[in-house]
Amino acid sequence: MKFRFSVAIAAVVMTSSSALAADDDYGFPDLDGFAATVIATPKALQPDLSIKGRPFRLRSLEVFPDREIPKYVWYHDKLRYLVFPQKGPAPLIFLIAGTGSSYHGPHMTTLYAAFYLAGFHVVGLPSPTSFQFMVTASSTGVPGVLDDDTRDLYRVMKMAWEKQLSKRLEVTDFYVTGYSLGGAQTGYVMMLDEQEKAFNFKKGLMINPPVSLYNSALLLDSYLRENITTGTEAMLFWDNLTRAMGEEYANTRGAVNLGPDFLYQVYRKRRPDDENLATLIGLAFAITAQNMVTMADVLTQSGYIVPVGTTAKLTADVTDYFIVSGRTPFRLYFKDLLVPYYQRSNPEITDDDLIQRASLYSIEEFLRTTDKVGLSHNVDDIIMKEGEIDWLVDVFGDRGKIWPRGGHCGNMAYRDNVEHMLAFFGASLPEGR
Amino acid sequence: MNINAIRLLVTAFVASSVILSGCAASRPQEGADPARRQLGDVMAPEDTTLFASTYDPWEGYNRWMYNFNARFDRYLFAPAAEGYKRFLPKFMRSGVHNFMRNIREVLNVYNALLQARLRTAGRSTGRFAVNSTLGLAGFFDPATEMGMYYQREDFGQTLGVWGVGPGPYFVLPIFGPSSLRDATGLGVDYAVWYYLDLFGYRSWASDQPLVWPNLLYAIDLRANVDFRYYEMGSVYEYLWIRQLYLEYRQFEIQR
Repeated sequence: MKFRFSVAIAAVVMTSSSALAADDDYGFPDLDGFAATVIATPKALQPDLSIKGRPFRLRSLEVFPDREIPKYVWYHDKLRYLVFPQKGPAPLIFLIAGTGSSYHGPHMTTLYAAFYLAGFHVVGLPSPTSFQFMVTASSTGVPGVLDDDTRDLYRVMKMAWEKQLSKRLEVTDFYVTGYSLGGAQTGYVMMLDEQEKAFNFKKGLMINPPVSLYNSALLLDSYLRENITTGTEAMLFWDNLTRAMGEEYANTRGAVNLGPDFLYQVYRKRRPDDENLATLIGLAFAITAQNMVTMADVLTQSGYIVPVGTTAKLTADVTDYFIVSGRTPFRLYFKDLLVPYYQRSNPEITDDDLIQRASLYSIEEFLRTTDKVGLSHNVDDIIMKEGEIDWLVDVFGDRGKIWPRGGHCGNMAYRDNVEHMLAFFGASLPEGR
Repeated sequence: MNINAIRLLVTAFVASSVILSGCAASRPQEGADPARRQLGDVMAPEDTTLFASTYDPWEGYNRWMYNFNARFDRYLFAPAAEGYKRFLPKFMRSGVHNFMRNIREVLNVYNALLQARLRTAGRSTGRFAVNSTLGLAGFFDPATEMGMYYQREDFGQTLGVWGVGPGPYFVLPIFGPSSLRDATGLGVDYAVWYYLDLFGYRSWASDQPLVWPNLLYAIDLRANVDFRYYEMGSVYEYLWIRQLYLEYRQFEIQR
């Protein structure tokens, strides 16, 4: 999902963006949770988040200097993160990416632009579940247990601040936010910071977090695997998808950006059913899970799909590993890689202990009592199990904002959402945006 | 060394790599236990997969070249494009971009003609006429505002339109993902451009110190592609990109 072919700059003109309006005063298009997740927010409904010039710097950290990076991942020799500095004193906000995501991608771009334009120094970090973080900065190699992942993340934040940012930026206050899994980690970071006080974060906003990573992952597993069980079915799905997209692409005139506007147009014309959209979402997640399975297996030398001690050359044909890991759902990542890894050092530990530590339930007390942590979520978020939104409403009370629709992070760039997010931190976009 | 010698060297280098490369599988350590989850556990014997059926007989070479390109891109190409974007104002960059697209328009025209797509050929011809004159030798693009939008055509697409399949997947030096068909197309397009030498531009460009117009062409090309090697977030990026490239070309051929 992170992969985009930007064919060129010009966007498809939206002729009637109000064609799908619901009869409430929330102006996000009347899409169901699956469609909103896939399409996200059309350009015309976003605030003006364009930035002049290229005011950012890519920085890198050697988190574990003694760690030997395997040759075939030479490109992830250091942890890379992105900084948008302001001139002069300003508040600093850390952004934590969603599952499997690096410091870039569409949702991160929205956050960078919004906070930068609102006057923050912005520092974007990859998710602990991302490829580069697993290789360079994860202490376990099997991310998923939120307290451990958050310690890794917090270490990176401190290191980035002490070694690099503190020398260059004048900071008034510290804040943190994240979306999806990064949203859940935001809660954990806020709690850890209460104890360690390295930053004294003033506020943290959790955007579309899962309540239980395990539950959400099982749901995402099921979206793919309830619809597709064999490779033949997968090929049929892929063929239909590419044929449909190809036909739509062939009808476009001029330059096309395969972004929300193009998808929205295709959606309005073709009206794919939820089964197809769910399959697509499940597929995107499976690509993330595929990478996590493979890398966790290699990093912990578990011999799960790659035999212990295998030396892969850069030029090696790894199609077999690709297929096996591609057909390994997150449920098995948890059961066959994560749990056994934790049991190596503590044989007493159970699946349920770890499922608990991969959820917000284990920091419920903190989330209920703190007044620094806010929540932004959607009623129809497709990664939430029944009852989980209600639990969040109960825990966060009036610190939680639940939007009537938007799916999973689909409405993050919608103007009301951007405004709400910035207002939570006492900020706003400049006039006219 | 002139540009022709470099070209010859690159060709020889690629050819020898193709011939010499086999496709080594990864090697488990001797005596290691087999992996707990194997191919047989995840798929029935009669089942198929998309990726295993992609024709990539030169995978060893391709992977090596993909990685070479990634290094070249990380240390040279992408930083050059990034510096270009930072230090040249946007209106100058878009001027360069328009100019480079305009001198390429002739390739769009002849390929559209060969594909019997007369409307596309007409549009591209119109663009070239309007932009070369009103657009001040191509620096501006008034044609798009007049409704004549840009559409890239190349000889690989032309072959595709007439039913030629992609053939083996083939990663080119610097250019990146391609196929035997598309690499051939690239060569044919280059030859046409070389021998046509419209308004003497090509021979003028190759006489400049450091062939800077060609370097500028390359940097403009890179600056307008939103892709970074090894940033997809998957250890299987090579396989995903291969698939997406082949699908994307299919899209382009249909268009």
